[in-house]
Amino acid sequence: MALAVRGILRERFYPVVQAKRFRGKINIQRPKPLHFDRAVFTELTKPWYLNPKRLKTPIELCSKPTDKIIEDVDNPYQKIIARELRERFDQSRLIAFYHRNSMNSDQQYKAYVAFIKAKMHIKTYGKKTLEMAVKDTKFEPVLDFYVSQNVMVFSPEPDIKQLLKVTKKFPQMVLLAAIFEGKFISKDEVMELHLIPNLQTAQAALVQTLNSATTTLTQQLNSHQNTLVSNLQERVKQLEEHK
Amino acid sequence: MNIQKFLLTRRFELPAKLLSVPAVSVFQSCGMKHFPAPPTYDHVEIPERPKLRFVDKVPYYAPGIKAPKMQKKLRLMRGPETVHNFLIHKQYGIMALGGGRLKWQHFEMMRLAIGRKIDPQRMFAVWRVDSPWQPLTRKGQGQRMGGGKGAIDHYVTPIKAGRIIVEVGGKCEYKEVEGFLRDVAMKLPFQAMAVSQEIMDKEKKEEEWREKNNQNYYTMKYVMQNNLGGCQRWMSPFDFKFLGKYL
Repeated sequence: MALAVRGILRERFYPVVQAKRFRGKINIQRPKPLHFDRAVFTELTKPWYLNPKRLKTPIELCSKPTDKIIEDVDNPYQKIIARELRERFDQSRLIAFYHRNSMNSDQQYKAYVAFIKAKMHIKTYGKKTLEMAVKDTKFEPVLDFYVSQNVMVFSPEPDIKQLLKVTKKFPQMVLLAAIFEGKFISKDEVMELHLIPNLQTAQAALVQTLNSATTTLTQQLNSHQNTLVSNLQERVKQLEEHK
Repeated sequence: MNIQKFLLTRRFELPAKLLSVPAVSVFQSCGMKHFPAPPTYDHVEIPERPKLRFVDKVPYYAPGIKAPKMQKKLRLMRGPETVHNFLIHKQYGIMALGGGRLKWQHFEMMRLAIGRKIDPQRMFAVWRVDSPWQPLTRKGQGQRMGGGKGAIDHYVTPIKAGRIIVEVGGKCEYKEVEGFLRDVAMKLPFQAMAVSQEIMDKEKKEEEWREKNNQNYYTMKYVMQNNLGGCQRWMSPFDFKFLGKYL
C-alpha cells in the first residue's frame, strides 16, 4: 500500500506524441521547385561580402598594381652571368661606361670589332644582372648612372688613349665615366689622364717637380758663374774667328 | 520654353567615354630569359596495371543464391560524401558535384575513354567507387500496379555529392589530364568536374574565407537551428541534418 501511494505521488511525465510524415521521394537529378516560404528564406540567407575596394583611395584604385608584377625569384642563369660580370669587374684594369644612342646594327658591329682590335670587350648587361653582380661591393655606384641604354667596355690594360681613339669614331657612344685601376673617375678626369703620355714620363715629371726647388736654388746660385763661363766661351770663339 | 529652366530641370549624364582621358601606361620591361626546371614526379610510383580494371555488370553471388532485391534507398544519394571525398594519390581525379547513380554503361564509358587517353608508361588510373551492387527493379511494360515487386533490371552504384569517382596519377601535369577528365565528367549522369589537389585545397580555403567573411548574420544554418520565422514547421528531417545545404 505504501508503495502504491509513493507511486501515485511520484512525478509523472506524459509525452505528447504527434505523428509527422514526410514524403520521402525526391528526384535528386531534377529537384522540385522550392515552396514560396523556403524560397524566401533561401533568398534572405544568401551570403554577401564587403567590397575589398571600399577602403582604397582613388590613387590606389587607378594606378597599376605593383603586386601583380611577378619578378623572378631565382634565375640560375642570371646568377652565372652576374658572377661572370663580377669577375670582369675585378680583373679589368680599365672599365668604361657608355650611354648608347640608337645606332644601326652595322655600326654596332663595327664598334664591337674596333674594340676587339684594341683588345677590349664591349658588353651589354641588364640592370638586374648588374645589380646582382655589384650590390654590396665597392662598385655599387655604377647602378646610379645605369638608367637608359648602357654599355660597358672592359680592358685588361689601362689604355685610355686607345679607348678614346676608338670612341671618337662612334659618336653615338657617349662616355659617361670609367673605373681606372679600381678607382672611379669622371669623364673630365679621363681626359686629364689621356694627356699624360705614359708612366715613365709621368714619373719623370713627378721627379722633376720634386726636384724643382733644389734645381731652381742651384740655378740661381750658379747663375753668375754660368753667365761668366758663357761670355768667356763666346770671346774665345770670336778670337779664334779673327785668327 | 525658358532654356535655363530646361537646363536646370533636366539631369544630363554625359557618357563616360567623352570625359575620360585615355590613361595608357605601357610598361615594357625586358628581363633575362628564365627557363625553370620542369617539376619532378620521382615520388610517384606507377602500379603494374595502369589502366582501369573491368567492372562487372552484375555482382557475384555464390552459386545457388538468388540475387536479392533491394529497397530504393534514395538516402544513399542524398547529402554530402564524408568518407571518399579526397584524392588518395593527391594528384588528379573526377569529383561528383551532385548525387546520382552510376550504371555499368557509365563505368564502361569511363574505362574506355580514360584507357584510350592515358599513357600507360607514365600515367595510371584507379577506381574510387565500387562496381554496381544496388539492384534496381523494373516491372514489364504495360504492367498494372500490384503483383509483387518487379524483377531486377540492372545494378547501380549510388553516388553522393563530393565523391571522388576515379583518380588519375603518374608523371604528368594537370594540363595533360584536364581535357579528357572533363570530357568524361560531362558524360556522367550527375554534375561532375575534373579536379586536382591544388584545386581542392584552393576551394577549401575559399570556403573557409567565405564562411568567415560572410556579412549576412542570418545564414540558413542559423535560421534553421533557431527556428526563425517558424521554419522548422516546414523543414524535412534532411534539412535538420544538412541545414539547407543539400537537397
